[in-house]
Amino acid sequence: MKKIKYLLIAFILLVFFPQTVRAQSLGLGIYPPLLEVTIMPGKTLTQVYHLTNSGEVNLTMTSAIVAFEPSDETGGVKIIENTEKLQPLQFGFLNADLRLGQTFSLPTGKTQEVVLIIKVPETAPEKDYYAILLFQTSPLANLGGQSASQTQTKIGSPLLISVSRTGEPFRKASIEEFSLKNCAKLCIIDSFSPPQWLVRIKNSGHSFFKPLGKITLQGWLNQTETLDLLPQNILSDSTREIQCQKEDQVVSCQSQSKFLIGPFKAKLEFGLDDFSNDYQKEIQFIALPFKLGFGLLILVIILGLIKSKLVLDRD
Amino acid sequence: MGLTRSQWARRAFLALFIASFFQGVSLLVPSKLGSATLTAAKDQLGNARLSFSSALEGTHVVGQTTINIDTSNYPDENTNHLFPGDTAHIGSNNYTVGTIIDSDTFTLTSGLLSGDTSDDTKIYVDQDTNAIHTISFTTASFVANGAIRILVPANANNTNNSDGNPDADGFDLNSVTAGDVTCPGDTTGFDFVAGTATDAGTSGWHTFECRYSGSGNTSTALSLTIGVTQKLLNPAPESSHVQGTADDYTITIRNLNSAYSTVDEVNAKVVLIEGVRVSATVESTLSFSIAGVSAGSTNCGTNATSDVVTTVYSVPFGSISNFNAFYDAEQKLTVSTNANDGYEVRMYEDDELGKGGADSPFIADTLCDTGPCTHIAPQEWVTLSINGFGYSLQNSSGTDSEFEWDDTTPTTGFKAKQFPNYTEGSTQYTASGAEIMSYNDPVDGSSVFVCYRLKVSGTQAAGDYYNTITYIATPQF
Repeated sequence: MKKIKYLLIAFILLVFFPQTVRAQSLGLGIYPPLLEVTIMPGKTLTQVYHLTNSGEVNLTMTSAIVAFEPSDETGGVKIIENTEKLQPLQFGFLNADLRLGQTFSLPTGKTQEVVLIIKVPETAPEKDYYAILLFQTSPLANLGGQSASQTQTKIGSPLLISVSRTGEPFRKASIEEFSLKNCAKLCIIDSFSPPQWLVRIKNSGHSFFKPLGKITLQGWLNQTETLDLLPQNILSDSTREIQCQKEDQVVSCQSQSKFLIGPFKAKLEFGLDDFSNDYQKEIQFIALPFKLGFGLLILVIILGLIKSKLVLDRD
Repeated sequence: MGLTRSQWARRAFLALFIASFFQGVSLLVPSKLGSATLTAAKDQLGNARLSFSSALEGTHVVGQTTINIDTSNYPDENTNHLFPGDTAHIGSNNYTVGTIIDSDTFTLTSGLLSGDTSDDTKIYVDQDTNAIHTISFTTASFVANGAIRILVPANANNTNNSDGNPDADGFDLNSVTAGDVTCPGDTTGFDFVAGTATDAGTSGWHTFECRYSGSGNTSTALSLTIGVTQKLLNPAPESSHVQGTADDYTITIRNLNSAYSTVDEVNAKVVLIEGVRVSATVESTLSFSIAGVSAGSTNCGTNATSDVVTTVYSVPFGSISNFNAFYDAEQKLTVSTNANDGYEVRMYEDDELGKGGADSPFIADTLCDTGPCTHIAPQEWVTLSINGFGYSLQNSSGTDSEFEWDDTTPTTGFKAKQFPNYTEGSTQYTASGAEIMSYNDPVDGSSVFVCYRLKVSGTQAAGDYYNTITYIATPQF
């Protein structure tokens, strides 16, 4: 009888007070997230990577090196599965117990350190090689007799490798576009709408670079404003839309002025991995208070109509 | 017999005369006044950081931004108290310090200009910002019509001590003039006039003075400042300087009488030390996580209430028995990175859902209602007669999703895309617009719900259908 009572209590507890089921998470962290390196032919480079399992499940991982190219003008990567573009560079791990491509386990809360070695043969052409070190989880082998999608996770870290004998690879840029956004040919903007610039820089050299420079806005009363370009990587044979920075924060390249009036000049100047004015372009525009003028015009018309109505009523 | 009134008067007069005589004699030979000590004396310096003084090591080139300093011949022998953002005067121009690379190398934010590149070109970082000396003390004696004189130690070289560059053994005058001296306010016994500032010349002391009229007073707290528009330039480290140990300098405060003789005097110490550069390297990292979501979640709207519990590894739709309903499920993706250029997350399916994981038969990717939707272009998918497999997104934290389920119809819609299909073109998932999350800046815990939707036709061949969805998280370069 006592046994039945306990079983009944247990049954009630299980049915009416179920345990909260918390969904598990899979978490991966990688360091460093980006490697930029210039290396001479015939040299070898090693870089330590840390892969951390920050989730709540133990993982089985594999690694791979793949090539990539820019997918757009904002720094996105387009993975190219074959590694032809990386030839003749040789990639591997220096770990005693782990080879590139080999499966390894990564328990929850643990970090796997891998030492990536990149060998650049003496005969390697002097150019850039863009690769990604990818780590991927192994999917479950058995989904248990049901229709399902199983998920797999990859996390990668891009490598920008510039092979150069001199350490000063050929760098060349062109200003693809320096214009006011929303302004085609006749650039007249409203005084209350701060101008925003579109900066697109093309890398026509053999090596990636960062543009270091600024946009200077100068008005007819010599008032000036400066926007610093964000030093973003531009890969060879690609174009990138560059953003600006203010106090180490990324911002759009937009004037902070609340009100502008009259003719203005905006000058873009930058150097490649160096602050200089090697590359320059200037545009001009005019700021006029359209909206205010339009508002005043409407106001005058309304007042005029009211006045004529009053005159008519009086007559 | 008593004295008459007249006799009393004569005697009193005689006594007064004698007393006045001796007083007059005493005034002819006055006793010397002993010098007392001013008390509560101090010099509060608004900026107690030593100036930096070094020079280029070796010939640099025009445009060079990496600067190597001489480590043995100048007051500063390393970069330990240079700071990013300091204004460095090199040769004839001012530059901004960018980063400190190591003990003898730092970078500038702009390249060296012509004329500033030779070996041993001087590098100074002047510490005169807020370097206001506030000198206070309490008087000891009555000193009538006198002056307060402050002596500030300076280099004994008449040129060096006032050239606007820091010296290793004293304060540079740095163009401080009388207008930069603020005398004490007038108080009982003191009526001050404007101050003066005198170059040390070869004396070793810059002199600042505030004269006053009045009787002077004892125990009166007075305070004056040196530094208004121009401020004295703090010294560079002494030759015997040990980093981390302050260099102390003695400021002398005097109360002079009308004949410019010192009546009261006291010394006050002022100490200067390197600034402390606190630095910490925050390592860049990227972290990505997937979490399962419980059944009943409505993150993509109540019309897409999730039917199953998902895990980190799977989206188990289970046994499909209702051919007149959508099967919905969700997972949550979260990304954090402090990489400057942000990140992106893409996904692809290895193939459409295939029976037993095989190529055929399969459950096709959805074409959406008025489609076709693709892996790039989303469309509404709310019509039950449209079968297939697709997904939508909903921001959970941040605004990083490529699109959202309610972009078109906020409450009733389900804007969906096909999964990029690897077997139908391994580059589908790399196409512009196929990413599911991205951001161009560092993010802290941006998260998105991925809402899976499956609708199966009643004529679909019975069996278990599988595929694999792969998520790829990469930093942007």
